[in-house]
Amino acid sequence: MLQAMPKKVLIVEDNELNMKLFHDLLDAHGYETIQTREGEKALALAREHRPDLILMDIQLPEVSGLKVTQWIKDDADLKDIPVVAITAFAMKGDEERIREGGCEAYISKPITVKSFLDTVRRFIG
Amino acid sequence: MTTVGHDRRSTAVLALWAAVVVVAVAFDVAVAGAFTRLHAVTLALGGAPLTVLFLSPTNAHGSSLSLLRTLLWSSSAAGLVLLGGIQGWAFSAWFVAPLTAAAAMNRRMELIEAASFSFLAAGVVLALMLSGGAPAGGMGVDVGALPWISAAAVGVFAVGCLRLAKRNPVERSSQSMLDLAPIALLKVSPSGDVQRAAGAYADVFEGLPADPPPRRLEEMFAGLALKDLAGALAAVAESGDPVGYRVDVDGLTMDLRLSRLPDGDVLLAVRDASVDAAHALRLEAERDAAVRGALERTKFFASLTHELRTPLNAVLGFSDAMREKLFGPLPAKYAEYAELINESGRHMLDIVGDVVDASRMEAGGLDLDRSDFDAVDLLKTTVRLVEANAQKKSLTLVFTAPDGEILVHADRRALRQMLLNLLSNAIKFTPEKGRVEAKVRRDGPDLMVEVSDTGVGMNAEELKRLGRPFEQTASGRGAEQRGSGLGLAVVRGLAQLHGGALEAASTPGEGSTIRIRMPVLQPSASGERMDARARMDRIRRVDWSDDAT
Repeated sequence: MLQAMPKKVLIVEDNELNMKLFHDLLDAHGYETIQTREGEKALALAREHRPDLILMDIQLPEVSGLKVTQWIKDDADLKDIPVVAITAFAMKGDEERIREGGCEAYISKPITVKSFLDTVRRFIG
Repeated sequence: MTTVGHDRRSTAVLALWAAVVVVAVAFDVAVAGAFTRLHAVTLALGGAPLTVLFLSPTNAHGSSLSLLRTLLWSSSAAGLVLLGGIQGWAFSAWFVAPLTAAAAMNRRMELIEAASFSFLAAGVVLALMLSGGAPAGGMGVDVGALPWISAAAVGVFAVGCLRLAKRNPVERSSQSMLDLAPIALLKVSPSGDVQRAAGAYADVFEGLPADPPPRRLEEMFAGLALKDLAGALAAVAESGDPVGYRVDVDGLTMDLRLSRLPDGDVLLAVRDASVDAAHALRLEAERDAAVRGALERTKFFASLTHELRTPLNAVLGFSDAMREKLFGPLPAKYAEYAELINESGRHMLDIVGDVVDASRMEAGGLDLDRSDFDAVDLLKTTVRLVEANAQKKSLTLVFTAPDGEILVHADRRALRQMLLNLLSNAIKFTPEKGRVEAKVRRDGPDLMVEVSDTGVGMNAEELKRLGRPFEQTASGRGAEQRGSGLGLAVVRGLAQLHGGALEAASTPGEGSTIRIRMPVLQPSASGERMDARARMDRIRRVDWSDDAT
């Protein structure tokens, strides 16, 4: 992919293997990734790097991904960055909860490569 | 305790006594040929009990009987002076006997008292007769034939009293009924005198003397319990309104009921509720533990799902990336392995989902989210989801539905999952080039969803166990046909939550038909909505022990 500026994706994910998976998939398709395992650091990283998309694991050890999303959506400078929730919770009401939390989309674990990439492309081409 | 009966009997005793006196005097007058002063005294004293009885508005109530006895003792003392010596004593006893006998209908001690008085009187009279009817001293009255008559009168009276006491089937049977009662019954005077104990007295007041019971309430109750009881006793005796309350004494819980009896005493019923109270506490604790357990289990399964899905994400994601050859070509064998890893991972994922659904359903934590929708449309799209899987095995997948919509009031997600599970099973257990058919139709007030296949089928025994968690048919346990058996359990549970049921028919080796029947049709479709709703409301929880058919 020949792009002057590769699109940047901030991945907030505490599981090392999943982080590697998301990174590898995005990297293979020409996206640049910024990674953090801690929700608390996500806001600062978003301010610093201005990513084009944020992939947010909802189940984080310290602070919930929904909380972090709320911080981002409450920030005037960051609120336009789309946030895609990634969660292993796939129960009734989860999707609504996540959408109400301000996330633009929702990918449930386990992912398939195709749907994962489709969702990412939907937001940042 | 039939107090009315008791009153009648007291009256009868006194009437009997009066009759005996009158007959005795009349006979003596006839024999002696003259009415003497002695006859007058005898009549007056003999008639006194009956007179007082008629004067007393409450009839033979305990208190008026006591008054009567006092009066009789006084007049007996007068008789003693009039007649003199031991003869006078005998007469006085003779007069008191009926009253004590009347009162004794209720009290054993006084019956003994009455009997001994009668015995004493009879003995003295007999002594008089043996001495040849010697005139009494003092007033020098000639008693004539009176000793003989007295002996006969005492005899008649004693026999009459005995007969009356025995002829009390009501009292006797109610007494035995009372003694069967699992509560202690105490007849207590307003001042706290225990008159009588019946029922399970000995059990409730274990360690206290049973026969006779303690004379005072203080000997049965202590401390605060007694204080409360004395107050309640006074209140009930005063107002006549029954009172009931519960007390805890020395680790015992007792239920007390107080009610005023017609004779002014109070009936105190005491029930040992300690076992009840302990039982209730234990039940409550057990229920709490069960609820906590169910909640914890649901929570546990929710976190288990998460813990399993997270690594599965890596398994499926990386194997998918290999399968898609995302980073370039890989040897055919490795591509095949990646495919197998991915498939196994998906299978694990299905099981995880089923376990969670089944556990939530078992814990009652799965609530239906009903809405109104077209079942045909939903089921049609569901069938499409498994088309790819059917094609892989070259199966013919058919969906049959009547023209138009079938409007239902049900949980969309549940209905979709039910059909999905049935179809997945059918596809899993049907050999290549077989046929899987899904049908939907109305049947009375019910929606029927049916999936039939040309698969391995089930025998009768397997059919019976169908839909229970972790029950899979032996014939279904091939290497390519693994499953937890939870899929059908979930279908069954969801159908039951809708007030419906799972039906199954199968021929081993030829195939199976599994049918969901649920009363979820909308009124526009069936007109029998009330019926369907009523059935729905009856069956709320999932019961795994039911048979599927």
